[in-house]
Amino acid sequence: MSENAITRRSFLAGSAGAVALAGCAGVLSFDAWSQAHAEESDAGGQTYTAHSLCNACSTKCGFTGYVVDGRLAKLLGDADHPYAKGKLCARGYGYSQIAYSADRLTDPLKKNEDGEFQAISWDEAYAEIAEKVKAIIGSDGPEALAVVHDPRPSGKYYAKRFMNALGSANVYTHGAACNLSKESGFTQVIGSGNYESDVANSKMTMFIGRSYADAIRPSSVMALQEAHERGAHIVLVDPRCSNSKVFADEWVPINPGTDLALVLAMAQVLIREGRYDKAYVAEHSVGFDEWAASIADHTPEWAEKITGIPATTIARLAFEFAEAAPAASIEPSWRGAFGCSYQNSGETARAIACFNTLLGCWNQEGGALFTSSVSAGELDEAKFPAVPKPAGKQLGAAEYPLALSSMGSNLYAARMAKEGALKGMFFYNSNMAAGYSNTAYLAEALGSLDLCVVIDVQMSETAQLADYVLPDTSYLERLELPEFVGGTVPCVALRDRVIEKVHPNTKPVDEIFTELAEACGVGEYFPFTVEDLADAQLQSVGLSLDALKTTGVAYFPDKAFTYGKAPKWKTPTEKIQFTSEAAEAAGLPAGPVWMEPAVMPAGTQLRLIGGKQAVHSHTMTANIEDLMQITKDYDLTRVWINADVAAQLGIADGDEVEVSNSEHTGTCRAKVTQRINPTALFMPSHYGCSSPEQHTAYDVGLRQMDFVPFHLEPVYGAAMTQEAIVSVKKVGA
Amino acid sequence: MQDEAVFSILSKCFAPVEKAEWDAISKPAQWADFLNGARRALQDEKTFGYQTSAVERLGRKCPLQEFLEAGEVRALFAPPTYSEKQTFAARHFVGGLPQSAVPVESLYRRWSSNPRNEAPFSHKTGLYGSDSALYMAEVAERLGLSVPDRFAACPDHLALELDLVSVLIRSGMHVEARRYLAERFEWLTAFRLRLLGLGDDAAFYIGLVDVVLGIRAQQGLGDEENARSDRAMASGAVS
Amino acid sequence: MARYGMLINTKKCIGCYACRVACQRQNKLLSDEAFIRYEEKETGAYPEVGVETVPLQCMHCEDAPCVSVCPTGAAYKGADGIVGVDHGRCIGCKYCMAACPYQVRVHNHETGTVDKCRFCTVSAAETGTKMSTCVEACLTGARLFGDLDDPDSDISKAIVSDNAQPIAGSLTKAKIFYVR
Repeated sequence: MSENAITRRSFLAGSAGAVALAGCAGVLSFDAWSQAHAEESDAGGQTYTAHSLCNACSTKCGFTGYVVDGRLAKLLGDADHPYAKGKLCARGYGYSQIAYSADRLTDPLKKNEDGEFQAISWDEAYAEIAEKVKAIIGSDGPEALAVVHDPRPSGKYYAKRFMNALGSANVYTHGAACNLSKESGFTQVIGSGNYESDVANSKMTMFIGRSYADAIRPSSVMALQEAHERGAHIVLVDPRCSNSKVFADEWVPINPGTDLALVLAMAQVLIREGRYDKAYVAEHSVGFDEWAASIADHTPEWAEKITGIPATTIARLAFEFAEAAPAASIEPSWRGAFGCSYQNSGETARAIACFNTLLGCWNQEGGALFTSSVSAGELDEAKFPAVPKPAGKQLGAAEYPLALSSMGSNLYAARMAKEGALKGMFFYNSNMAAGYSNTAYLAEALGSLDLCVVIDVQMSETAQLADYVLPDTSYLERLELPEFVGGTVPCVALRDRVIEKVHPNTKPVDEIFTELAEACGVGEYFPFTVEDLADAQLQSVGLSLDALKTTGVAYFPDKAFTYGKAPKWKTPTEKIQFTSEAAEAAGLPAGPVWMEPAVMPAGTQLRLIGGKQAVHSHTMTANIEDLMQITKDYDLTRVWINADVAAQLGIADGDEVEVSNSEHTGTCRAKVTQRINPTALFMPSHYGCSSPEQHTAYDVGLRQMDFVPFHLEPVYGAAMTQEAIVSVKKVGA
Repeated sequence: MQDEAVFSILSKCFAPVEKAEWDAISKPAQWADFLNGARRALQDEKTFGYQTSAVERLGRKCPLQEFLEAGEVRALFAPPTYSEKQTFAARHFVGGLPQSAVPVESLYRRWSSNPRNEAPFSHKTGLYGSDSALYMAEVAERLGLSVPDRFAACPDHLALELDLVSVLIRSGMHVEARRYLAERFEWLTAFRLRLLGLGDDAAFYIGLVDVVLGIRAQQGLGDEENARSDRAMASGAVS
Repeated sequence: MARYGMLINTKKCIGCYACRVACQRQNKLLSDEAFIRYEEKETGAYPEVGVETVPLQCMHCEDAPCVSVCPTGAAYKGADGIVGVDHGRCIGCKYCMAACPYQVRVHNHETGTVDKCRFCTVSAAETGTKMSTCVEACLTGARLFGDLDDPDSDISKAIVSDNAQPIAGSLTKAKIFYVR
């Protein structure tokens, strides 16, 4: 090649290397361009809008993105969307920045021999991953592979299909560190993992460990406000007085880990006094007498010693519930106090479902509702071939028999990775290593794998541990499968693409899993595009992709929920189960009775509890500058400590304190407050990022999971994230 | 070596090219030719074929002396092999890594100054797809050029900005090239700082950036000269 | 001419920061430049605790101390009573920041000038454009905006019915009224 040929070749002008001079005057001045461009924008510019779903938390609120010159210019919450109701929260505004973040992953990465990542081509990545997948299947079978994902509209479909196509049943959601105990416990009693409290229309609603004002879904905040302004009795049971107190009548500052005792004692009062809905219980349930007998000694006086709540308060609350029933319920919560927190979380969930049954509130106005939902119908088998059911069982199904198989125990999978039974793991939209349980244990477990593949938009702590990191597009850059949303009027909503891909070498999750499947030799189960599938799913319910792109949300009024009708109980007995054979078979009491938490603080020790702040979602938003600035401005990384306890320990507000236990030691500032139970130390769950690739989040605050021992809730398989005891002292004292 | 060729090679240092092409560029004779060309552009009074007046010459700094003493410029004497160049790019010209130093102007400037842009992050620095990316895409289009697919996310990639200088000079648009040089490459100061943080590996690329900044100081058209050259153009003094 | 004012009902404020982020977005502010500042109040003693978040921003005072101390006339009160900043005149001396009893003026470290709430809701109302002003963004309707001189406006009625008061009584004749 001659010098001339080389230097003449231009990226922009091709081999000619030059342009004609005509018509170029003025083009090159940036200032002139900026001015002309702004004027053009003022005249309307090139603007379009698209409906999408937010990804700043799992709520997935609908919004309209306004795009000018191909770039996101504005977002407004969709008034039509059942959760957004025309509003977005601070996270929703802030998180949209992720598409353009300098910390975005732009290319597939492979960890080299020095443990450092470097870019490789997609083809190389697929080929090398496939080779390892095949080797693992060859030596240990497909059951040595697993995937963990935090469900998103496309991700939950593709991640599961990919793993099943490889022949493995090891598909796990983040649930073991979120809502596994709660949903599994409810299922034992009412045959459903969830329900919806009709807060806005209730006369009384009790929240246990959940705060609508701190883990924001606009529609929930509005319902709570409506209830409060209507005069409903709103009770917060929580070791911490959350911001929901603004719309609540009372805060019941329970000792953390003892919610089960409170619920059982309130039930005991209703039963003892005959103030429960006897007709409802007789018609719809099994096992009542046995359970009632088993909790006869769970009196308010007994519960007072455990919960720290006066017996008179417990009895009063029970009577108030009886007065308000059936327009009353204990709200189902989410992660809160019994999603995955304690050894007794699954049993707490069972007790709550039993308690609501005593109120006869199921499907009653103001009570607890099983609202309607719609899902995609049968699809054409030729176009969307069914994946054969994997032969093996999900790892952990035998050891944690009550864990819902739709979630599974991802922590058991981690344990199997550490013990060598699991050889290859895939992660999608999941930061397991920083958020699910003990970080040191998880790092070791994931480090023991022969193959660890992470699909994400930024370098999470989990991605740091991977052999291969595959760059996803952000939520603004892709179409996803339709999201069916249950409710009093069920609907379907769409995450449409708002902007074109920012980085050409990133790929949307559907393409990544499809191409991984092809490379691994199971491409025959993915002969369709996400557009094909989305349209087919929508056609199956009488809609189309094009139609939904226009409206963003479509409702199914003919499937609307109506009050009063009892649901079909999807339990083995087709009744509400005060007692469960499955629970008994798993070694639990037939009906929920008191069970101690795994650990209890002694002396000046405190129980470490976590929770959300309104501006963050777990560890996902900490790298967003606008949101992290709020954390800094208001010193939100502080741990909360009860004022009396702080005085005993010589800690003043704003002091630097050392938090330590067998797992970890770290320092941060303390917020000395009246708003917390004296046996608890609250540490917000968003901080302590250890990934230097996240320039904004890195090394700000402490990370709750560093202090949590690696352990699993018996029978249910959840992370027991609040079974951690710590000592606190003033730094230098 | 002609100025356009110097910029063409500078451009190719920051972007992936075929092995044969890099081998040809980096073989000793060719590379020496490039360095000579760069040195001339840094030092010489001639400004892309445009004759400056003696007064203007006096007003200019001559950065060559200090440049030749700088370690980074010494690093320029030994260009990386193809595989070294590839490895560096795979570790540093890739986003999302602790050692990322992606050579894209957008990352070093305010995202948008367009008052109509209401994106919550329009004021931020350090995001892809800023005004400079839109500008470069439009310039390319107006000049009848095309942005290669791999640069779709970043038409304001350093390789393309340097390439455009080369194209402009080759097309006889010397004044435009100088004005563009002055206007466009201010961000390299910030990019250079980023490269400095990478340690010894980056010396070669820091050297290249210094060369560009040096040529810009020497040849770029400032505001005053801008006006003067406009007058000169108007009076037909430039051939 | 209308005399604009705002009502903030802290009994409805959950301290979620949505108004701050929406405002920053609307007015293109830096991450560390916020026109809305929050004070958290804790009342009572464990376990009888009350929680209150008080959002504060420029009160568009009729007796505006910032305007009196500004040496260049950059801080001014417009004909519509809205207190503004002429950035061309601001020399960044921060006298106004020191003089403001509500501590709601902020320094922009990029421009070196001082800024604060612009009552952008006015332009939203006038142009009919949907904007994410603090009023629009609030999830709970804690904010009302309108003409204080119009006895039939929602804000005038709410000030009377809820007995809303400026945060510091008659000091500076502030035009933001609080229900607490």
